[in-house]
Amino acid sequence: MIRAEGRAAFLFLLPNIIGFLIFSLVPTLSSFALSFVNWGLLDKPSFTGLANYRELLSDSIFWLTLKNTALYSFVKVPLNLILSLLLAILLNQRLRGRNFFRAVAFLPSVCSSVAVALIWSPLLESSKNGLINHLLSFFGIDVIPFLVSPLWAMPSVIFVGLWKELGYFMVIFLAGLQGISRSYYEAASIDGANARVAFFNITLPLISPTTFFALTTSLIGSFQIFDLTSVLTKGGPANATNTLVMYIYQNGFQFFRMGYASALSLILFITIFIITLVQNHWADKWVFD
Amino acid sequence: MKRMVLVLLGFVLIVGSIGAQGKSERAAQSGPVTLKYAFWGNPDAIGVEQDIIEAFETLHPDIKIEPIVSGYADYHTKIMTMIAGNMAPDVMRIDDYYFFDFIKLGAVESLTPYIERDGIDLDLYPKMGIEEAVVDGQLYGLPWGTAPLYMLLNLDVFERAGIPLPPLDWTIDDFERIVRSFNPKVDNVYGYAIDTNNISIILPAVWAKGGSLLSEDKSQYTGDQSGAVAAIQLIADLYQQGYLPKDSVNAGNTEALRRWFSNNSLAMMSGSAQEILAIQNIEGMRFEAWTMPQAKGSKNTTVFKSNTISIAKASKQKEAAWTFTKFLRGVEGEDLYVRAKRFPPTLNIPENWDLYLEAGRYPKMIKENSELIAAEYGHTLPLRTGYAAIEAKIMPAVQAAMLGKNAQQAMSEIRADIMKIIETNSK
Amino acid sequence: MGIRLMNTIHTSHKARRLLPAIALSLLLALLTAFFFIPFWWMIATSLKTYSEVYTRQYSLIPTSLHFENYRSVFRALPFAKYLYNTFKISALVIIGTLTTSSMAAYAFARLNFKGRDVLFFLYLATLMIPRQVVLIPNFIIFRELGLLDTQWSLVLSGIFTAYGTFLLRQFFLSIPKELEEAAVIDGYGYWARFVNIIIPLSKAALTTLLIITLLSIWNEYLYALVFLQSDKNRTLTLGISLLRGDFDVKWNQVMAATVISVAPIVLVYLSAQRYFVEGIALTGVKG
Repeated sequence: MIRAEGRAAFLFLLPNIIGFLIFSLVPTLSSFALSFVNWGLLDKPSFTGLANYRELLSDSIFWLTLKNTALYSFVKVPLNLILSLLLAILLNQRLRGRNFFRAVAFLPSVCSSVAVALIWSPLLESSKNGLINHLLSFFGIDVIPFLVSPLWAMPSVIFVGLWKELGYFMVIFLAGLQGISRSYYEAASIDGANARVAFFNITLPLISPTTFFALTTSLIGSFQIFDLTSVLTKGGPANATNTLVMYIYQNGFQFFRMGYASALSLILFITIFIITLVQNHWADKWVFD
Repeated sequence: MKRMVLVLLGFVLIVGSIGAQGKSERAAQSGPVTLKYAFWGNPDAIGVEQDIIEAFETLHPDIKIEPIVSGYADYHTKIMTMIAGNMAPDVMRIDDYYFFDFIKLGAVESLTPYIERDGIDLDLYPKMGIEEAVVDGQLYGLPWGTAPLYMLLNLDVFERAGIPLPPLDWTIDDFERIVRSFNPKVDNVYGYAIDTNNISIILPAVWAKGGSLLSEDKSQYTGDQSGAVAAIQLIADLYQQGYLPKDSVNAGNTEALRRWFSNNSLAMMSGSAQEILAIQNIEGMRFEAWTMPQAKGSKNTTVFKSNTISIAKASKQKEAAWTFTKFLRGVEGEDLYVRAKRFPPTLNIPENWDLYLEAGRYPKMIKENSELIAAEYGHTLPLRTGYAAIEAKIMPAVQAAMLGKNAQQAMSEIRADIMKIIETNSK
Repeated sequence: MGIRLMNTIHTSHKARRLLPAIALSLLLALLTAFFFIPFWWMIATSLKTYSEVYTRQYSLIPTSLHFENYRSVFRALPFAKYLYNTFKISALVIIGTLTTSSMAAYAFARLNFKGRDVLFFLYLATLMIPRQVVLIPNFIIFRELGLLDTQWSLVLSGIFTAYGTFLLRQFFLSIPKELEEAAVIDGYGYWARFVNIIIPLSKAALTTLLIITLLSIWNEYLYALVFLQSDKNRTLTLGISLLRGDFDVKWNQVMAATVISVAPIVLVYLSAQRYFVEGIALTGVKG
């Protein structure tokens, strides 16, 4: 019985796993190997052992970008998931024009991060000419230095990131919600359960695999934020929005230090890996398999 | 499970070797030589390159040119990936920010033997452009698009404010006076604005205060010494006191600068030749291309920057590549570039200005001013290996100063990091 | 408002009654404005003249509609070809992803085999490395395979990301096992159960994966930049990047090009929405 399953698994996996090995796993392993060399891309790599790792431990920019990236992720991801779930529930109702609203909410995800940042840059200008500040002035609020104050820069980036991805995760949650049979709710209703009980005892548990997916991919994605900050603030002001992947990219393709960039990526990988492990372990308590 | 992995690995090896075989068959070629030529540009720029390629191919039917083109953003990522992956373009245009690194890492071929053999007259080329491509007496490329970073003056804004245009040899004090004579809080018109995208923006002020960011031989950091600190403190003070728009501290602010300038809410801003091309096309713009403010008694404060056309060391067709490079950066190529107004004339051929200029079009004084700058007011950037990394340390410090940190402190704090970069890059 | 909103989850036909109509309309209107105004600005900019982009930068309404900006996009560069290339590559990636990922996801979700969880974590691990860093190894692999400057390089690197497998595995896990157990008793093998039970129940998830995959490959930039070279292979993102060029950016034209590149995905999304089928029928299975 188990051998039959093993064989069946082999056949089901085969098409995907060949490509996965060649185009995903091997490159990933190569980049780990590159973390032990010095390589300017234009010359030949030279082995340096753990030198890159020793250097990054005392690299203040590394720690700063790690902090910024963590800040972005740990604020944006919970907000994103909660709001997207609420949005999905709202737009799962039989409303008139529901498809229109779903499309509108999804619209921001359709553009690339670069396009989104290009659209929002002038809107967030720190003067009455910027649309947002212009609107705020109607409420008597002074000009807010969105992209130029160390205090406001990261929240502004989080805001734009949320704008872009609320609809995206709404779509994912919608798919999850579709998978819940109405009969569960009908049974609960017969048993006299009210809406809040139904939400916490039926909806949340039954979409928990979807939530786990959304949480994991959202965390993985946020930890790799780069395009958005690169266009909105170029990592400023004074490195307030400099992120780890931006620093990795700079090292690899502007500072001619691919080896160091690979070492930074491995640390990023370990960080995300640990967070995902923790999240996975915690998820065992609430995810329904 | 283990057996599964072995089978799959075997699969991968087979597929890989098949693929590799196909490639090597393609490598053996006879007949016309094909050169890969990499450059960046937008559709208009690409048009000029196409014309040059066609003109060249007509002259040399045995050489075909295959263009590799992308937008400027990530262009260097592309060619660096190609070089790293053993597929270097034969002829490539490289921004001088990176060129010394390309030389040091051995990616480009020395052109000195070819130049001596063919008797090329280097006096034809702008001296400051040649400087940025020479290491140990060997020249590694020919300059492309050498031009100043002008100070653009909006004539309408100056007139409306009742301020006369400064003379070409204006000082940094004149500059400060002009900026402070505007009243942005009242009428939303600024005297000056910047973005903190790169060092070129603040260097003129640094030089005008008698300082520098790196020593003459670029082996020492001097940005925490009095001249540089004074300049950065000046910019920071002007910013803190509201004479610069708030977004000036944003490195991504470049677009907004052009917006404000075109809306006549900005009197002065730094602008490249490309910038001029763009602003020229906005209806009703009256502006001039000027020198940067100077120190009393020291005129060289206007950044003069270049790009370089070079031949890859890994190229298998160096002779053909040299033939093309000679054409591209020779009189014929320059002629086509200038006619298309791709950049102002760079070679020492005065007649080319007649091809470039259009009567009555702003900036009207660009020819005289450019020649003056090249002759008397220009200053090259302190380019060296690791330039981008050094810049990435300096600009956040400048931003911190603008946001209120003491400039001396901000510039001193980065000394250790910058010296480390210089040290690792000098090995 | 919270409790009243939750009430509407399962008694959806009562939505009108429970949440006050005005509050609901206001909320929807605000959300629409929030999501749509930046797009409106983008579309407005695409209809302005070059000068207006700078002199009337903040206006949401151009002085007149300059549709020639759209025509100019196609004249400046062969955008029709870029659209076709992007479409072709996306279609191939979608087909490849949906088929191979769903099969792999079934194995991870339903089948027990040695090393399953380790392998799955390997899949997840490849998502945790930034794509910029695996760019060079990928470049070398595709060079070895002789696939550089072909559209297949983008297709292959797009199909085999772990993302799709992960999404579908989660979704398959949430399908009640009882549904398949009935089929096992009836003698259905793995493949039969996969095709006849799992897939039909996964329309929403498959549609979602289709849209997500379409998005990621449609907007792929860095890999397209590095793998492709000839103009005949270029994709939309590269075309837009070329239009931007460097300093002399014709923003009205670039925004028009962006609108052109965004429109097809919106259309696909709109037509795919009807596959968000509501609920599963549990007929024939004991509650």
